[in-house]
Amino acid sequence: MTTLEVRNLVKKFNGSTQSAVDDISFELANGEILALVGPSGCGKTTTLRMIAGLERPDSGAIKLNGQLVASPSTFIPPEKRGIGMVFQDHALFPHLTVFDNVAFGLRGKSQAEIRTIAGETLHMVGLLSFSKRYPHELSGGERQRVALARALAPKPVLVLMDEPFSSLDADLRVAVREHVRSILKTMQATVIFVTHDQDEALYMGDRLAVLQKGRLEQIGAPEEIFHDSATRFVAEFMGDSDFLKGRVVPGGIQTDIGLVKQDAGFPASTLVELSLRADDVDFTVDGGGNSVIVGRFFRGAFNLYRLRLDSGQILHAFTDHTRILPVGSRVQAYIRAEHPLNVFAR
Amino acid sequence: MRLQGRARFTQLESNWRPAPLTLLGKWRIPAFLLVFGVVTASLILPAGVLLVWSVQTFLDPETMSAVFHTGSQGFGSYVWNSLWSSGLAAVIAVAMSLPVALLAVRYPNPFTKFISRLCQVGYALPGVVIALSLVLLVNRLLPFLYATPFVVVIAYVLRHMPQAVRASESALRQLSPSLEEASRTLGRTSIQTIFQVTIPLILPGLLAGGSLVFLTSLKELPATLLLRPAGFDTLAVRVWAWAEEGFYLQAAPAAFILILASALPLYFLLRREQIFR
Repeated sequence: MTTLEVRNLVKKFNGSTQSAVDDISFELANGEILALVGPSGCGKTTTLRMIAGLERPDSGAIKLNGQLVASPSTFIPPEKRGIGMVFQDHALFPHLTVFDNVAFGLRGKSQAEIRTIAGETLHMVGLLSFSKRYPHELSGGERQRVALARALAPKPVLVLMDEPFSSLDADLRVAVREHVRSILKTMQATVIFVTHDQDEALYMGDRLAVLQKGRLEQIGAPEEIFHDSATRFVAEFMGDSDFLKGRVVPGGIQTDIGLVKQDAGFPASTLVELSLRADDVDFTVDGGGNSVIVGRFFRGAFNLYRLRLDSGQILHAFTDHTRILPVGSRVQAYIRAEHPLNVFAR
Repeated sequence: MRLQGRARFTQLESNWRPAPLTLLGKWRIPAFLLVFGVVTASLILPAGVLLVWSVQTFLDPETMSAVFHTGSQGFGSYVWNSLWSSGLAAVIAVAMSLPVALLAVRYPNPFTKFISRLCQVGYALPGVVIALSLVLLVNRLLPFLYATPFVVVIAYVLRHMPQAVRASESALRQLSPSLEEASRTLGRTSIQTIFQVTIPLILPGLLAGGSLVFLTSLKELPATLLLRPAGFDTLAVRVWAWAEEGFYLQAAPAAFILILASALPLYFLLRREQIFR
């Protein structure tokens, strides 16, 4: 069942020549987590705020559970949409205790009900014993969980999370996101999760939507986005690709490291680029090889080598963590990937 | 502050560190004397003189009875008049500053900024000018208000509104809009949000603004003199009247109480700075 339907959403801010959100459409099924990912200023937060009712779209429509909540002629205010939101700065009410923060959205229920629901929700995020504390007495991770509990307690149709982990330390972030994802899945919540971190997006999203300059570049399963990037931007943003220049010839693509046997989907002699990630490339030591090692970055579980082809083209390659070669060594780089590579016209 | 309990009203985290100590060496004593001199000249000397004069007044039964029986009403009524007119002005000024501040801070555009600036014009105008224009205005348009203490209160509000507007604006600026947005997504209308989230959180700022209006209204002399109905004496008016007639001893207790009444909101203002440490 479709929970959210976004149709041709456009938003332009005063004094800006470019649209913050430019003709975005997507749907969200019940119980699904969609990660909205893109660099800062790509329009992901604006999209989220329009769904929440905190911004009005210039054109387009938003439907929640089949009901039109925003269009040029309709605007249902945020308090009537039944959407829960987790803010980047958590936005906990500093004058209320943890319990009262979580109970804030439960108005209209009986005292007993409020106590049960807020208690259960706090228990779920593991903070029941913190009920009487004030937000400033909590750590960043605890505040994050209170913010989540507060958004989830009223059982919203849709939960919106705006870079919820960005204020946490890197090591905490990984632990918290695992916890948060399991809570969201237990609650069977329908979620839109905004992040600029591709790693976080791949982890959190059942599906990913990649945005750039207000446009939706691609939407799909994490694997699909990663392996079958629709645009050069998606390939570059999701997984630090290098782009190897080439030309379409009969039987494949001619590049600086030889012929790549793959149907390019372009007519012969088209100038193209192949997107290559570090795990797609390998090399052998060869005094007459096609490239030189210009850098090695030890990453613990593996080595990341930076290679410069004689044409000046830079490629990266992952190798075994025990394989250590000095910078300046001449090597023969080749493509080890057995899956088809993404090809873009240039 | 008991009223506040353990709740905090600001989210700003400060990176403030105390400045490193600089040893003054041989400049220690001159520096101390300079600072001490300023305090002596501005506070200790005038307050001391007032205190001494007040004590003299109390010791002299004749002056004492003059203090309590000048004019148609007694001493208590000057104090009361001062307190309620300034207090009412403070409440009205803060209440009126809130919508102005909300518009200017949350919906900044040339029009809302213009309104905010307009509310601050009163600061540049002398009290006498405001009083005179009020006399004319009230006479023409609101004759039933003429010669009531409420005209005095209106003058206080007009004159001291800028302090309230500025205090409310700076309090609102420190409040992240995401708190208000969170309240909206949790089912509160914009009006409910103002009363349940915004006002409780900026209350210390509002009280500070109110204290300032109260304090300056207590001292306001020209507007009070021009607008007060017959018999409506405030502390400032009384001090002025007695001093003009040369009865400095009689004026002293009133002046001293004026200082005490001002010290109260001042204490609150200074306390507020500590709360946020």
